[in-house]
Amino acid sequence: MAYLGNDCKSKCRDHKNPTYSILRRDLDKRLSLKAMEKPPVEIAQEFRLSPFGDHSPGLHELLKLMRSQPIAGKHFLFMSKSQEEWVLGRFSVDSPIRPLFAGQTIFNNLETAEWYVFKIRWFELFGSELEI
Amino acid sequence: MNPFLSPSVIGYAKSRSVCAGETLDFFISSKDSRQYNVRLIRLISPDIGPIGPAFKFIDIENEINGTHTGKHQKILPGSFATIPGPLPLPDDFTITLLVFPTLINQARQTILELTAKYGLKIEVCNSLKAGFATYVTQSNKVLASVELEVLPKRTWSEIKISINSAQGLVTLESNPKSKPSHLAHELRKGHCTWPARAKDNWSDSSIKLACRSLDSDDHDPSSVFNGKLEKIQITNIPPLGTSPATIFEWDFSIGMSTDRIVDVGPHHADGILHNMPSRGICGSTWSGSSLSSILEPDKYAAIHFHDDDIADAKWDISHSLDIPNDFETGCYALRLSPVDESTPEFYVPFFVRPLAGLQNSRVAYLIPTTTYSAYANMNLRVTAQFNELAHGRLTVLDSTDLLLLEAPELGKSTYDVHNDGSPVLYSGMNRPVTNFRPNGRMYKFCLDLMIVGWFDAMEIGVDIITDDDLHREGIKCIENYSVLITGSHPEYTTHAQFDAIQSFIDNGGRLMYLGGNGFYTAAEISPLHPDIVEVRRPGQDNLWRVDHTEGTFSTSGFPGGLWRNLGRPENGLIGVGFLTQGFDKCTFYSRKPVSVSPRVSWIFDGIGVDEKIGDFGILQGGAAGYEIDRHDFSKGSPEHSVVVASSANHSPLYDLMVSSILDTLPQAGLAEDPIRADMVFFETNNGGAVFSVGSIAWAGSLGHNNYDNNVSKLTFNVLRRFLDKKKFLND
Repeated sequence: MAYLGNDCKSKCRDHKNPTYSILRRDLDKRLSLKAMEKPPVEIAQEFRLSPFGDHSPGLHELLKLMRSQPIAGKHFLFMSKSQEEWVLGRFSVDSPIRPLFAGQTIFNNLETAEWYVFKIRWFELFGSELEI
Repeated sequence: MNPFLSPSVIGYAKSRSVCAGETLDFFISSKDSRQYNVRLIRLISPDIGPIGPAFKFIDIENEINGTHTGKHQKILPGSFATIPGPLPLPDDFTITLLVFPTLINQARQTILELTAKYGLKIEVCNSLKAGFATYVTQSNKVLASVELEVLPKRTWSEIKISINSAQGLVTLESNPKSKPSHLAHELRKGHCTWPARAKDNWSDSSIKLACRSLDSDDHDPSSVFNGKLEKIQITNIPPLGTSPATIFEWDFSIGMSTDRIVDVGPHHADGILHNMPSRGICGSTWSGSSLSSILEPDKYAAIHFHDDDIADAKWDISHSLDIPNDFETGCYALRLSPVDESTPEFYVPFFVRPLAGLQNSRVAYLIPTTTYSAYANMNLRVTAQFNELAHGRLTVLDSTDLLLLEAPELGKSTYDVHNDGSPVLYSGMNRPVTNFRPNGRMYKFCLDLMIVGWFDAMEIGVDIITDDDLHREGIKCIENYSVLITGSHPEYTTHAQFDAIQSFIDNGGRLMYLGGNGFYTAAEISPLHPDIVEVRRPGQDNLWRVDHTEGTFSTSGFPGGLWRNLGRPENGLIGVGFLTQGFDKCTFYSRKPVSVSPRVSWIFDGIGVDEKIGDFGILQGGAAGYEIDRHDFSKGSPEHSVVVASSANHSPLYDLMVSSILDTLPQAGLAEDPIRADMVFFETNNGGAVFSVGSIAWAGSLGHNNYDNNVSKLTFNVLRRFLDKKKFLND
């Protein structure tokens, strides 16, 4: 189990996790339907500083793409302690949909969780790590 | 306790509202029939962890508390009909059905099962492989079958099954009706023979529609038909040259508000519907000449069955709680957990009113149980693709939410669609409900408990009443109260509830609307099923819409939809109307210049003119947000109503979800942010008044700083003045 605080710097590559092994192929298939040019890294920095609320047009578009992906394979947060602790989960790709928890990535604030998932999605969309 | 496991002990109560002195039944299922613990508690404030006031409840001494022997109880979903008989059928007869399949897959879905003597059955089915098919079986052994292979999708077909007992002959005929511009399907016909040729095979038959039986005579949930049926007729097979005579004819256009299917034939062999399939549904002759199932019932003669319909879990009673006469009015719950505490707790909330005929307070708090029912077991929040986009943040779920994935038989809400894609019209509480609890997402009941916590902290005595009571009793339920306070999200209102609240304020009552998106959509409650809410949203451009053609409530005959589209905009009742929603960030209110005038300045006693009101709270840091309402004269806000404070600068998510694009179009010279929550006050006839905050998040700010904050202060100022018997005058 790993607690991730505000200084989370771990590599976020869900597709290398055997629990999610089926996801890479599925992600390739569905993301290619709506490809997007890799935005400048400042966009990611903006999200890191303020994941909720108003955003620049560029970040707004990127979040629309990230947040509107199909439910199959989508990340969610599992609230393990009331409004205090959240565990990263991902829905299965196959039907019927079920929650998957690969290891336990635990957050004690929602902003850190958003940033962690943002980095995974960045990698899955653009194929490169976010070095921030 | 493993928080990743879903609750293993779950249950529900017979009713949401009970008076002191009455008895309430509880129905509980324990996985693997393990022992379980029960604690009866009174809920004072919700469990929201460390971000607000501590979870506050009172243990109530009662013999229901303690460890009990567990029993696993099943839910058998899927709607169907039974015609018990005995039906006096002759040796030779023809069954004619009108069928409209809506979900064709590999599974064999049963359209009709006729059961006769000696276990002999005729089963009419559809499936992807066999098309329409008929099987003659005896003791689960297939004696003969005929399959027509082709099955027209979403098309009305007339199916005829003719039985000739002397020859052991079954003939099946499928005659699809053509759809405009579609290539016509040809009539198909086939036959088979079965060896048993005894006479008098069918003289005491019974029928199930839309499912087949299990050996236990329960219905088999895996067999339930997804689709519409209309007018089932059984005729004799006459000698050549004579016309067939009707033996039975079930006309579904009759008694649409009931669970009965009426036989207009000579035997009056009525049947019963189970698990509430949809009624008031367009049939095969629908022509566009009327939008009302009341005016032209024959055009709405179809019943739509679904394999995921569930009206009542129908579990055995586990406990009967006698509510003592001295029980205080309030919010209560049974707290259930397995005896080894291995899985999370499950709550079964209920509300206790004062002893019948008595009143403890001049203030009534109206718990929006109609809205709770409409949202009960909202699968959409777990499985909808747009959920994260609409909320502007990752979806947060807990083990109780995930129970919906583990146990789909718990059913759906009126925000979901059935497995065949048609909207869920009926949603009730006579089943375990995962989103009716004092914890989890801070929305609806969990958030309404914040207001209860505020009453407690401010030492304000209130009587609890529910929407269910208001629907049943009308104005009598509230007429003796001086002040009526709403919950944070009273979105759904029946005609009877709307009328009662309107009468209350017209008669001088004072209404405090402490929510957002309130009184927005019409709902109905079936007289036969007082725990089930019917919602129809004709023509709304979203996932849970129904077509304009099916907007009439089957349970009452009233038109469904938004109150503003029914000529009764919520603006007329509460001064504001729903504008938009966004769940990513909330903001605060700023006072308007008019707020210093003596007419309304008492609202802000102790609050500075430039003070931000509610720039804090458990819902994304503000009192204005989540779902917000705006004042608008053009939409029915009373001419003398006054906006005393407003919010501004909501996130772009609120633009995305506006109820009308016209609300946010750039307008030259616009002085105000068009996306805002308006706080409104107005006087009513007979010295009454209405105060509205127009925001769900308001309730989430009441408890900030241990209830010492300007949202709490402002709410208290209004309640104090509303309790003052001095009449409000609009000078």
